[in-house]
Amino acid sequence: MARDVYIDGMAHQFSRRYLLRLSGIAAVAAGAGILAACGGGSAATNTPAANTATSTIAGGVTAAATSVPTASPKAAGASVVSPTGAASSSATTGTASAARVSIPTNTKANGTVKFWHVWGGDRQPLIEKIIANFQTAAPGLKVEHTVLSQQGLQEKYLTAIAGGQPPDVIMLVTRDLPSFASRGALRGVDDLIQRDKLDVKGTFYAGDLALSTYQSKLYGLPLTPGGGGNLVFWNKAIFKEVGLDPEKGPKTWTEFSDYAKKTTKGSGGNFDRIGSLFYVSDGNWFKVWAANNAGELYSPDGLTVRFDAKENVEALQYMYDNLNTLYGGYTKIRSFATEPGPGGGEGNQSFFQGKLAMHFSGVFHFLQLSKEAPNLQYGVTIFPYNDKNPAAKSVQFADGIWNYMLPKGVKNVDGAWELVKYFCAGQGQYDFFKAQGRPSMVPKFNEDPSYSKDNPNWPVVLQALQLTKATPVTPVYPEDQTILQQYTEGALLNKQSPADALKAATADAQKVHNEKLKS
Amino acid sequence: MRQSTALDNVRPTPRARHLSVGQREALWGYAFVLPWVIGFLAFSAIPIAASIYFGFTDYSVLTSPKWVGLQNYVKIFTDDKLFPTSLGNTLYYVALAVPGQLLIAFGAALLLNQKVRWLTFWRSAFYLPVVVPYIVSSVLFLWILEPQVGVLKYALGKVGIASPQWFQSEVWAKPAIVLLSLWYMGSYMLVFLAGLQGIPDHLYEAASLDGAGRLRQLRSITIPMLTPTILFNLVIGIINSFQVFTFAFVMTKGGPLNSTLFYVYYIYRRAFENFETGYASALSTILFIVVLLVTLAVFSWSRRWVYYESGGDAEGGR
Repeated sequence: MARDVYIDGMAHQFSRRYLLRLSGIAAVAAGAGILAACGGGSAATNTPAANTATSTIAGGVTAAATSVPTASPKAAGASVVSPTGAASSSATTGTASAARVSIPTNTKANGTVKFWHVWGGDRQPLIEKIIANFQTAAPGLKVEHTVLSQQGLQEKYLTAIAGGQPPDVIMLVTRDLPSFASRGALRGVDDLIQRDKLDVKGTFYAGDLALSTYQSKLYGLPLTPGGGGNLVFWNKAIFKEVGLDPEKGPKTWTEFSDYAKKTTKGSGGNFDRIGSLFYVSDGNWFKVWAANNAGELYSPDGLTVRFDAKENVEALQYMYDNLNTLYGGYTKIRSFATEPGPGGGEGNQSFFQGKLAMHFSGVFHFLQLSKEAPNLQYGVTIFPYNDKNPAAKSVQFADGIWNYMLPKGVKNVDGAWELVKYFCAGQGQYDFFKAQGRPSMVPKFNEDPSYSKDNPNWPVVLQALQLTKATPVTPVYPEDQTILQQYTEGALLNKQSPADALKAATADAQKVHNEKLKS
Repeated sequence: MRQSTALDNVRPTPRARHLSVGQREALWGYAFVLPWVIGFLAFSAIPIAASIYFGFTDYSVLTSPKWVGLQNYVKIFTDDKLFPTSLGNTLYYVALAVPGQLLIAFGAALLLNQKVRWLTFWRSAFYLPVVVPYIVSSVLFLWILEPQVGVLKYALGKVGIASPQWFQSEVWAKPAIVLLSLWYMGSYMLVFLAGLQGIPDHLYEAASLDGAGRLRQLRSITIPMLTPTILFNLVIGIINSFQVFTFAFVMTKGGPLNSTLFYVYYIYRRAFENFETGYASALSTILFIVVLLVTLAVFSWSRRWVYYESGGDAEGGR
């Protein structure tokens, strides 16, 4: 889900106290419990190639960890000084390991690794801690990292690559993968996977691998899972107030409309509270509605545009009808979505303030909620499906996930690859996402109870992770999205009927496809 | 005259002996401007020439350019819906922002030309916004104009006016950006202030002896004497405003419904989001020509109203 990916990288402001709390939990988890639970994980990836050796990354703690009892109070105490929890405890005390993450490592890799990413704001200390852990685990490597803004990210990569001075590792959304890869801006990693005999299929979710693949090649490794980007959060107090069961979220479109109607307060353009936004201005939630009506945006090869398919028209019509019946039009409630800041907003503030009953967001929202609305009682569920369409079921639409990739012209291939493995499949992946309370890219971590015991909504997260529905992404996908956004917004603003708008969007996008993809 | 002393001390080499004083001075002159010329060639002239060339190619930065003749231009003029939209948005912005900025800058300069207490403080205060980065003021204005909790909504509400949706509305988004641009009038104000201080006092003395009031003095002395400054600010303002980019990039992403898709932002999108650097270069060349034509038109129009105290007046009056 495109929008989520953007939110994802934004610097969420979360409190030190929250991090400390997490770190305490993480430290408790840092004992042998996870070690035992994840022990099976190593089997998949443990055949060393000629110049590689299988080892446990976090400073060779395998032996130490087995001898340390679970939830060692000492380890827990030690780790509280740092927000990274488990990671820090293993790095500082060397007695407790977070998890046994066994991936093949190349001990010969050395030199400097230049690493560009977008983990700014309060996540910067976290990433820096994990980089430090990585350097401890791979003593021959030194990481020089740069935090970038998401604004103009492609531009920065493009100029660095074109100028022949790229970093060694870049953080890129796979939505941009085809446009970068088709122009030769990236270095594939299939040779490295083969060399290290890294079992990618056994390590990652299949849907996420599909999203990270362009023309059967991998250009890096997936970092954040695609599933879990389309969740509905609801305010329990509001549900209770209007007589709805506060423990049950909407499962179907019928329920969703009904709940939205019941929770809306006010009329004639003056609302104290609304049930749902249905749409936010970047247009991405239209794609989610469509996918949950069994809609497809493209033919499987991505060449033919199908924005105007019946299911998609129905989805836009559903949004349009609800916005009109409940509020008298999209414009009347638009301001509930606004959040000053780059790119507008999705209604976070309205939800935090109890002005929005049901809120669209993703797994990255837990942390934000705990910080910005610590007293809000909320429930969360996967996105509802259209119960009037027998072919429809709940899915998690995804058109891009973050990857760490190697750009063309990378200087330190071996060093870069070690970093990518550590952060995407290894200890770095575990520590970084656990500390944020969000799911990992690696199923084995997520299925481990100690990874998630601080998140009461974990069953929903696991369910969502299974439902990823990837859409075909071509080099012109960014252009398509601009077109789609304009026409869907136009339809909701009464410029055209939903059917006509999607027809026009299809024509425009197909023209781009014909011009640029078939030549 | 340090420079000429230095020149005098230079012992002419046999070759240089054949040069006249004028030639030698010219040589030194070129030597002194050389750093600037190199900078200009490397960072302006060559990139501009390259950009014009790329406008005739299919080019995506990462691949080598392929000559396609006029294809980009044909597409821009016949098959690009966003070209007229973005150009129209930009013209709208130029038409409102430039007069707005100049009027406010002129008014502020008049006020700050008075002999009041804490003059330096007031001048600094009015100039201060200019040193605030665009990105900061953009976020600041997003908050001020926020339609739910923004301070402007609150203030307007106090006097019973419903606040528009500003950046959420395709009608109000452009005016909102114009409003923000007015905040940046400080540099024009400074130029006006310098112009005002260049007007000789004896003109005002003579006028007041003849019984001219303040308004009359403004109309018959200040404004005519300031016309060259107005022209300067006008031209600079137009050139700057045609390049409006950051506000849309940060605040609206060109929306809603392309209402803030300004021309330079559109170029950026084509170049860095769609990787169509050749096409974007063609768009840039068109903008260059548009700005050039508008500037020439302003200059030609200025002959009717700009008053140059020495000489220029006679020429201009022809």
